Amino acid sequence: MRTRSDLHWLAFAIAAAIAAHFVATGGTPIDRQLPFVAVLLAACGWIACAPMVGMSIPLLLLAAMFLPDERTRLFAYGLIGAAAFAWAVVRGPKLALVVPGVMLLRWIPIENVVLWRELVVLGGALAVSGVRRPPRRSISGQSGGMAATLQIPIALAIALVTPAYPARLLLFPFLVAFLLWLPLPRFIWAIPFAIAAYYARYSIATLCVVAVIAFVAESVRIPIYAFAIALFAMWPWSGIVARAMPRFLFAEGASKNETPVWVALEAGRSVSIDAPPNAYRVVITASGANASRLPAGRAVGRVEVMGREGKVIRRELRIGDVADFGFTRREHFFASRNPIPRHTLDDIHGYGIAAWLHTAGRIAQVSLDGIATVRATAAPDLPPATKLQIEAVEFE
Amino acid sequence: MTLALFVAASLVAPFVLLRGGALRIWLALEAGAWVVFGFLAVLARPLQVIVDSYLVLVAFGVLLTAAFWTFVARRPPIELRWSATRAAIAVTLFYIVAVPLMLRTPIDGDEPFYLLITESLLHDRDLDLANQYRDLAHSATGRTDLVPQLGDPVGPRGERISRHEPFLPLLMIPGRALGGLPGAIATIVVFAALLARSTVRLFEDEGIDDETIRAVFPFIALGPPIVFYAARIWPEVPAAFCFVEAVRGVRQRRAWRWVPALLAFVLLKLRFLLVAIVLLARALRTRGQILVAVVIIAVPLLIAWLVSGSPTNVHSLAELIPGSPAAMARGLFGLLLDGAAGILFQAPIYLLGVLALARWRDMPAGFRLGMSSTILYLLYLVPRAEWHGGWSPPLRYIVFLMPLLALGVAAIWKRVAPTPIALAAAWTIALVAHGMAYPWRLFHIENGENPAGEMLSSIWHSDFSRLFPSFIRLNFAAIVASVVAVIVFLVFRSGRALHPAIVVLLMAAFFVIGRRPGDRVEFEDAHVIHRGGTLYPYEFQVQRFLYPGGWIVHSGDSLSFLARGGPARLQYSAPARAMIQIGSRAYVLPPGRRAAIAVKIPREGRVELRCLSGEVNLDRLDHD
Repeated sequence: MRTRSDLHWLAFAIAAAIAAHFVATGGTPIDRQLPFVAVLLAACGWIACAPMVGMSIPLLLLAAMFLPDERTRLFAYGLIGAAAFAWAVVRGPKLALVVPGVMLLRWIPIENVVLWRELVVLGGALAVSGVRRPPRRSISGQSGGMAATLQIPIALAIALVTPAYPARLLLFPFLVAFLLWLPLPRFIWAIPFAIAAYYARYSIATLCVVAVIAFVAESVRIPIYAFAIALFAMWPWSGIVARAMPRFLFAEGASKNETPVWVALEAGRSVSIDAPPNAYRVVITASGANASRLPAGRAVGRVEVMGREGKVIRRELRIGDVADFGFTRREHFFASRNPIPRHTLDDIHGYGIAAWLHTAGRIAQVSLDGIATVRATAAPDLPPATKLQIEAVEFE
Repeated sequence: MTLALFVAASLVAPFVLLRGGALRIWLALEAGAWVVFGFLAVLARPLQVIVDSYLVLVAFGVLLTAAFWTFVARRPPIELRWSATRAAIAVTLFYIVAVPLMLRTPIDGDEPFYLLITESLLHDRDLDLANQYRDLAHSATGRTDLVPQLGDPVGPRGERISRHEPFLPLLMIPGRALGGLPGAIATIVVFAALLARSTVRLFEDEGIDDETIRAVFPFIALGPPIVFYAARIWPEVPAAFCFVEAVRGVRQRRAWRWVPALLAFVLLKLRFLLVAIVLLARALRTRGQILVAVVIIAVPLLIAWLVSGSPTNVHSLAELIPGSPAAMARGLFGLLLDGAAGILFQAPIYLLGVLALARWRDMPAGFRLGMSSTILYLLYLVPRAEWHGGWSPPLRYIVFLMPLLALGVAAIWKRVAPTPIALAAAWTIALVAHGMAYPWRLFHIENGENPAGEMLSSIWHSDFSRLFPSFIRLNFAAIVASVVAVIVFLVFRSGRALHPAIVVLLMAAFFVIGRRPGDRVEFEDAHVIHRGGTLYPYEFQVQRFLYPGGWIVHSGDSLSFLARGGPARLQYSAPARAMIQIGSRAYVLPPGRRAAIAVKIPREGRVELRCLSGEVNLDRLDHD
């Protein structure tokens, strides 16, 4: 396809927004903001002079028409957006692509955008992408393209994980840009960040890991591209990528057989649940309330499984088995000291950068002589207002 | 096994067509694509994405294949190992993958009958299928429900003869003997490979440049309709190969090429005589060739007479009387534009070949020879009731001329705007993925709807099918599409008027209009919510399109649909007096066949029609 004039692109962007407004009738913020997404994708095509990117708009419209299931439809939007963006980066690796990329990842839902914070993050992303790198041979075979094709996904990754709160963390992209700019081998910077990622709390480790990737990216290009495209496809839930990866990949679905309990236990309180006959395994879904400041490993309660022959199995519940149910929310994440539970529930709330994972942990316990009763007790030394929530149990 | 075959094909094909840096870059891209796909598959689980994993896998394979051929088309010649033979080998790898995909369901349409003839020739050395029908359990068809087709000849001693010509079964004997059903299909795959090679050679002969050939070739060889016939037992692909070779032979004045090709062509299907006659008239140069022409025409007629007792087989001479102009127009525009069976929706890239007809004098001589030789055939095909091909994959009756039409596509390729090409490419990929994942949907009931319209109608419970042109059940969209097609053919031949902005706005308009009630409600359609009742005639009725369709309701059954408010006419058939309720009013339906009564729809929106007593076959509701 030949490059169209700027006016053609403008006409296309307007038409795309109008069409998306009428076609996307789903009830989610992503559907409502599909016109904005269409404009961003048209902008990608315009910046990269890649008319094929325009094909993504009809595909978005088809997804809106043909996929009534919400998750499937949003995932299809994600795939189409990722493919269009990747194509734009390959065809015209211009650093200005960072702008629509960051907006796609961080500006949806638009009502959650705090403009000055987002502009600072955008500036930081542009700073990361603007750091000069030696030219390499690109995928398309044109010399000099590789640097930009790599810098753009790195800048987007840095922008994605940068917390909007607290304000001082908005400087994180600038720090990375500065370190990338320093005339030293980049893997040197990767080492301290890798050590920090191992020891730091989860919310800081996330930043460190992405920084390490930025420093070593040139050595592992193909996997970086592949994972960048796949993760970019998650833009309708970009908050999950920013704050719940990689544990989200191993999240477990709620069982259809589980029984809701929904009891919040204050310090020292307990609840007993009778098991049905022939139950040998129990899975408790539990979380904390106001527990986000508790560090990993801190005991928050205890589970006792009483066997039918009187044998009692006790198990401590710690942060790591469970977590504050909403600590991955954008406003709380960085201040939180919780990690994502080992066996977390795949219960996504919200959309775009505001998406968060309901981080209830699923704790399984087996009793060979059959289960009579299960008792959950909150730790007596829980801080005031902190509670252990027993959300559901499932007996097998 | 299919996945392993595809992985093998996608790894071997680059080594056949690429070299040096291009090969390395493609292998890196392919590895990256598999990593992305794997990671997305991992992501889909916790996201609880509801999707048919088989369809996703097939779609990924089709996309990867499309990406590979796009890569081949865009690389400089120095990085390629391009030749007709290598191109044919590469596509054959993908045809081999298509065989197990197509065999996901038992063979259908005429396929099992061709295989039964093959088995009869192989085991009994005769064409009497009576014993085959009696012992279907031992047939490789996998079909135990077969009965002789309607109108099949019966021999003097009760022999059950198939209406189908025995030449294709003859060709399939080695494959069937060696490999059963897959072996028989392998015979067709061999012909598909030969067709791919011949097509490239035809393009080269006619002066199409390499870059264009590489761009157009995957649409032909791996796009619909050829790809769907390349791994199924129909005579269309062998016939296409014979036709291309015949045209090439005539163009090169090489009788030893066109004589056997043309003879095989007419032996495959008697109807191809109509093509052969015109082609022969163009080819004959010596008296000896006239004798050959007589043989080419006489041999298939003689064989038909020996097999079925009539030189025209199951056809009659009365069929040589041309149909009415109205029927011709309907069939012609139907072949071009019909939502279920037309080129526009089933193989859109070939519409460029139709546009090439408008530049007749600029077209390659091979294109003009090939297309002009099909005139007589098309003249008799389009007015027939089964112009759309009946119970078969789409475009059955014109598959053989697709390579020639593709020559027209190649000839105007560089003059066509990018938007129509991109749209046709995207639609082609979707068609191939859909057909490969759900091969049974290639056999679509001719009821005036198509899979896309049915799907949208079911999702939104609104009549989207009415917006797809249907010439099977003529609708307003068909008339509009015909007018637009004529204008495009005369004025907008380059497709430059099709700006992407217009495309997206048309899509939005389509969706908005589709969610509103239409002027007509066909009660058997997918948008109607059926609570009880049965389809009439039943789904697999032979030549179902000849019956006025409907939905039979009994007392207590009801239908819900979107309709416009105001007066309307309800068309129905009822064996005895029946009573229905629409809104708050009840209507008594007098007995009658194709009767109609005036009803009133209380307001625009969803309407409930309930049968209160009796039995009534509801045909349609027309808003006045």
